[in-house]
Amino acid sequence: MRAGIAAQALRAHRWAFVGPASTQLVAAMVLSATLTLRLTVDGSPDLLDALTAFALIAVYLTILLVGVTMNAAIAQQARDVALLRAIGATPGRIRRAVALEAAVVALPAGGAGYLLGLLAGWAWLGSLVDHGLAPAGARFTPEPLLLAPILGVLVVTSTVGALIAAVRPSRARPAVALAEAETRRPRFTAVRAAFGLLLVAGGVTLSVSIADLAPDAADDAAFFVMLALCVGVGFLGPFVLRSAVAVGRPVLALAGGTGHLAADSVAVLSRALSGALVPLVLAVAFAGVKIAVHTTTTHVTGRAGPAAEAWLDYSGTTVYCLFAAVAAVNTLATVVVGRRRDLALLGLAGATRGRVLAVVVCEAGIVTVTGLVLATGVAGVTLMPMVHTALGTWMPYVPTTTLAAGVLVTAAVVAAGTVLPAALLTRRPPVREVR
Amino acid sequence: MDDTPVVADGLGRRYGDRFWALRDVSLAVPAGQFVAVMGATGSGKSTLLHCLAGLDRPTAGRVRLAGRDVTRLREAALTRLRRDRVGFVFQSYNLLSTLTVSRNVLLPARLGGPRITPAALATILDAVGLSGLGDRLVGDLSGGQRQRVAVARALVTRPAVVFADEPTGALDPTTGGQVLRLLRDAVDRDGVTVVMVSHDPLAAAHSDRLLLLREGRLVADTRTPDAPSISALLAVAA
Repeated sequence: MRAGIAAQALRAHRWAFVGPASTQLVAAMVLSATLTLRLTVDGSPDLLDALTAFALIAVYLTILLVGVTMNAAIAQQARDVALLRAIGATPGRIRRAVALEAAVVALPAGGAGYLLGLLAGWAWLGSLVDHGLAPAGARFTPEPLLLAPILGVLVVTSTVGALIAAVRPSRARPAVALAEAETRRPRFTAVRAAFGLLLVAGGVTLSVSIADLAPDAADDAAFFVMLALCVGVGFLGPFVLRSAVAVGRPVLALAGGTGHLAADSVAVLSRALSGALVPLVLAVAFAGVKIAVHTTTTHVTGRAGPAAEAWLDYSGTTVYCLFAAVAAVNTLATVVVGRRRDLALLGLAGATRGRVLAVVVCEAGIVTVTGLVLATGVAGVTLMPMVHTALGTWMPYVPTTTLAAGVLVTAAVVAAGTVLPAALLTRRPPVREVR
Repeated sequence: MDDTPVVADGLGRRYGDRFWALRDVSLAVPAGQFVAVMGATGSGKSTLLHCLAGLDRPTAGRVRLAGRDVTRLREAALTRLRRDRVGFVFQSYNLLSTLTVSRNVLLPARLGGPRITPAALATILDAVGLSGLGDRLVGDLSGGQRQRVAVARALVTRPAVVFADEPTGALDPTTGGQVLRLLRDAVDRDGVTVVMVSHDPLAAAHSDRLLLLREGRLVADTRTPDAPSISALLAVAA
């Protein structure tokens, strides 16, 4: 029956469900931490509003990201879906099976996320008390009854996201789907490049034009500057990555054949990898802007800003960045899982497992550096008018230790989406992958 | 006309803006006939099979399959027609590799198709030489055994037509011959209609009728001669 197909797909494509599951885990974590605090702590009105906002963000981002990751999951099962469609599964049956898969994954992921969220919430409450956002005697009291509504919300949001994701693949003609499972060649079109250039140019222009506005208006407009730049970067992603490879090749050549292999594969995979650049750049740039606004203020005025406000700002940034990191890791991991045969072929052609992983590490390095450079550019263009209107300086300031931490976290996120899955996928002898 | 399981009229299929993979193909396959479709790579034989079987929609012309105009059917109705009246054997990736032999054969029924009794399942597994292997995972079977599972799944619903796309393409001649004899037996014993695409003259020699495609057009439609004559015919067509 329906459940039969779904269970079958779950067993055969375990990798495909890491994406939806990790999204659901993070969502459950955020919901569990924020809702428990909302119910049990008598905090300031600002804090309570912020907690509600974080919970709503989590719900919204879950629908979006489960949709995106389920789409990748279905793509990995394209052949099975095509076979099932050919021998008699209607589009509706495929959609229901996909929704059921997402809902089934949501239960264990949600349960684990709920427990992790209790830990995170407990640690978070400590910092809130330290920053005067919660009363000194506030105690973190887990509320077991919250588990059921959190799982309910996850199942509903995941089902909605999965149903949306399944509409197109479920309607594909089986003959087309059977052929597409073999060959699919996306192109980098002129239209795409034009859109990207237009958005980047628009973002920079807007940034220049708001530099003389009042601080509040400039802050509001800065959000659109960043959005335009990030989406623009997303459009230009394949081109940017290929340029990065061209510029970086002399450096990569120092690593010999490994470096060349990595450069070649990033150039070939530039389109797929650029899907990970958008969340990566968005998260790093967003976090950079949020942090730099406070650190520059402290640096220029010589006195600390309102600590409570800054801490709430950082908390919200962390929630956004968590989801962005999940999206980036999943997109990268999807690319690696899609290449498992290629990695196996490298092995068959004579590369040791260490050499194969070294290639992947080099690729991760290219993506990390490109992402950081782009994010610095986006954050810089966004910040300059903000700090100019507020503080009269053009130069944002961020402490070196914070910068170093940012670089390390970004590298860790990229590695989690590339090196980690590659290491897990290359455990089996390569000849078993290419059967 | 209604009891003719496969009828195509002025069939055309265009890919992209201008490439016609199939051009103005008309044919009728009467019940109980074993038809082989041959032609060079890119001659349109797989496209023809996909359009006849309702796996793809033609750009021009009409297809009647088991008495229904598939070019007019909506996707869900077309899917049910395939499930209930049509069997498929592809070159590879025929089966869900984490299911057992029996569950793969029962797949059309589990997707809502006609019920299959345990006796019918045992009979079909016996007919394809797999009795006793029902509980094995298909991932553990040999290539020839897997194709026999695919044939069993295609035949178990007693379909009006079985479409086979290079069913022996991945098999050695001996193993391939066993699979083809299964299809031949189904035609002779149960009156099943088979439309098979192949590039192998030895495979095509099992058929009753030979269709030859070149650049998307039907260039020959004859009684199937023996394998050497088929090879000669292919050489002339190329």
